[in-house]
Amino acid sequence: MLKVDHIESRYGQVVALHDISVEVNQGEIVVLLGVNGAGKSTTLKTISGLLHPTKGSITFEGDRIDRLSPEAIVRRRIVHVPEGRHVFPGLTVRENLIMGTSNRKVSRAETERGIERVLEIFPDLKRLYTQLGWSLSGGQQQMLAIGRGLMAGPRILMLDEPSLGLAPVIVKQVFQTIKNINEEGVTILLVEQNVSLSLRIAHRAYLLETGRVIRADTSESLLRDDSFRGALMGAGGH
Amino acid sequence: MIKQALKFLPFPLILAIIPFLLPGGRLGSYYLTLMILSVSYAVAALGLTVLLGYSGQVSLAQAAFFGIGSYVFAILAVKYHQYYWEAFILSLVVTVAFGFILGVISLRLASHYLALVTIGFQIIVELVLNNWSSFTGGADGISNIPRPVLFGFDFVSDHAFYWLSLGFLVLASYIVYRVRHSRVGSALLALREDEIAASAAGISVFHAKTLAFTISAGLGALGGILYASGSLYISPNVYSFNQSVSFFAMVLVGGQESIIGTTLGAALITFLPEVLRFLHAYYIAVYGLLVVIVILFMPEGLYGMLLRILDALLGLVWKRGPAGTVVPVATLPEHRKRRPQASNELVLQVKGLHKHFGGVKAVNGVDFTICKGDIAVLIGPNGSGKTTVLNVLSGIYSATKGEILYKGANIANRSPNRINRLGISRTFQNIRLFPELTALENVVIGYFPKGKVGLAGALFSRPRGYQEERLAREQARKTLELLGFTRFDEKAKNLPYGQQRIVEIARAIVCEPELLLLDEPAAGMNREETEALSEILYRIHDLGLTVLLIEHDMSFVSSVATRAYVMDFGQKISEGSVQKVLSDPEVIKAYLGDDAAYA
Repeated sequence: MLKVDHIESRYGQVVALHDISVEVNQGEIVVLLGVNGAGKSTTLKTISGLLHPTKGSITFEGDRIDRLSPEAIVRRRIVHVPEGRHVFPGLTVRENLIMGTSNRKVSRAETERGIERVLEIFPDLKRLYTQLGWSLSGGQQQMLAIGRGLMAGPRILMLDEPSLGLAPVIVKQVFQTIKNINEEGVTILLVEQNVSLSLRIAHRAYLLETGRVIRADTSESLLRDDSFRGALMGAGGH
Repeated sequence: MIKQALKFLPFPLILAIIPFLLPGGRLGSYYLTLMILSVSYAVAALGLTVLLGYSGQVSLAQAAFFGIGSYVFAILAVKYHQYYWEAFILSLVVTVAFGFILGVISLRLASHYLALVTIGFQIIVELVLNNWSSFTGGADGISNIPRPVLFGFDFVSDHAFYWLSLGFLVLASYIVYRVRHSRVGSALLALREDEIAASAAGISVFHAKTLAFTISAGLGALGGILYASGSLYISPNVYSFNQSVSFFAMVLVGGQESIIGTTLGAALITFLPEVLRFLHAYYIAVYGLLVVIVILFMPEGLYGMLLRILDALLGLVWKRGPAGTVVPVATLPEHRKRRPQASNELVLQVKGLHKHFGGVKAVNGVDFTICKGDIAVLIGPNGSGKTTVLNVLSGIYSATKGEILYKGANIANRSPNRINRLGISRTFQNIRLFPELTALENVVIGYFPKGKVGLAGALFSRPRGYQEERLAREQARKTLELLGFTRFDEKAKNLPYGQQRIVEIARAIVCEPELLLLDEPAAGMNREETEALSEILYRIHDLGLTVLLIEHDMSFVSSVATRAYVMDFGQKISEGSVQKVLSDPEVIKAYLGDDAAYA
């Protein structure tokens, strides 16, 4: 479905991605793992058009998308929930959610149904429905950002550290939610630091290091691999 | 410094020989007059470089300062027959006072609101110059403005006055250069990048803003005096809103952070209309279009463009190494796995703290204490008020009710920079680094409260100023190295998330605070990095710091914390050792979820 083929990406003069190839098949959950600075977020930014690769190509269902603008990419229902939330501070929770639908024409009824579904997933947002974005706590903003991503009707949802800043009880819910969304037919590309929880829901994983893929494998074999567990997860994970 | 001065020297020298290159006769003296005027514009535009380029305050009132400078000088010198230099000094003083007032107003306004107020000020000044005719001469203006005599030399001829003006331009450039490369200039940049982070780093927003406005007004007045003396005649139409826009354009076209750029911009904006005169009726339109094109396609201005061309040419001559790559954080040496111990000496005592936002009771009666040597942790569900507590402690919010006793004194409702100076510093949940500054510059700004050299020191007592800057850089470097960070010269915005957090912690501890507040330091870090972070916390603790942190990573919390407080719905629901609170049924229900096995 999505094919990232030997891309290189730069921030000005600095090469952040040297050679990244990632494939995501319809219906999968794929997770990108690696330390900070390995290039995980940069890979997502390059797919969503915030950066353009200097080498290589990205294809979505056979079409090249690596020269398209971010808004053209989100119109193809490739939806990026970036790190750092980027909630609209002056809009209410409801308005923030509705903003998520601006990538396509939707009926009012469909919008309302979408909102209802998000509120079901994050009941905390129901209580905050008419509050302005800036007044939400960090964790609440994270929920809102994911909810806004869902409102865009994604075919591929790219989540950059969705568990960041969430209370443990919510973290588990979020992972369960991701699994549920996936079972409803949304393909998921995930970047996470919480290795054990993300491997538990993901089908496959790519391990990145200094802008290169150093390992691509299924979640099961990674979970079984003791040397990998020791290196990335520590004893028992968290 | 001498090297830098030598590098700078060619520019005034080139400018100084220009009169010899001009054609003779009437046309020559016409161009020379234009040169004098453009030098006076450049001086005033340099003031705007400080205000707009360094401190990021949008002002469209530079022509008003320019005008107040011109008029106060001309009225005193012509109508009241004051000596030249007396009028000169008084004019500077009066204009600086106006700058200070506008600076105070800017404390309450930002960006486009501020721009609107400065436009208002500009228009008022213009109206006063036009209509207070008994004093300003009204639309007729003031003529017979004198030129000075200094140390027995008279600067009455155009050539002599041009060279005198150049001398003042060099002086203005020196002032702006020293401001930029001093502690004061770093404070202005911090203000531009992030006001909240700047005040949390101990910078007084009041001082920084009023300083930026007074420098801008002072240089505006200096330019105005040179203009009045240079053209021998002034009238209100010179000091119109259009002129303010021209100053703005000079700074943007030249390159808003560069002294040479601003000077180039001033020359360009002054001479371009003259060059385009052959287009007759269309020349103003073409001129406007050219300015738009420069701003659209050269965001770094003319000077930035020149530098880039120069760089590319040099690159052709000398082969450069390959582009840099992103390097991961250097791993820290072996863990010491020694849990920190707290003493009984009270550092912070929070009593009945409330913070309400309208009807929302974000914090609703919280009490807790922190002792010297604690690594205390605040945990709780999202939206339970943890970050709000930290914001009240650090002065970003005022408390609705309650006391915050720090070493016995109530610090509730003090400003962030005063609290920082008392020895409490912090990091932010969303990371508030100064994005356009390098990692090292970010940390140097954290050292601001330790410095003593102000504007006068930066300008006059050079050795001390330099020593202090060197010390600040050394301390910043040492602190970053202590935390295992070495990419000093990378812009903060280009660093990955985890490393930004390390830089932010370094900025918070470089001035050796007593109490450090960390808002979710482990967020966005993987296992290995979180372990490195606990090592960092041990090191910080070894330096004698007491820490209060908010965190959701329970295995991290249980490895470092000496004491835990749990909040829910703005209130404290549990406290004690980490082990104890993590097995508290109420905490499990509200926060951890049932299948928790963390402690």
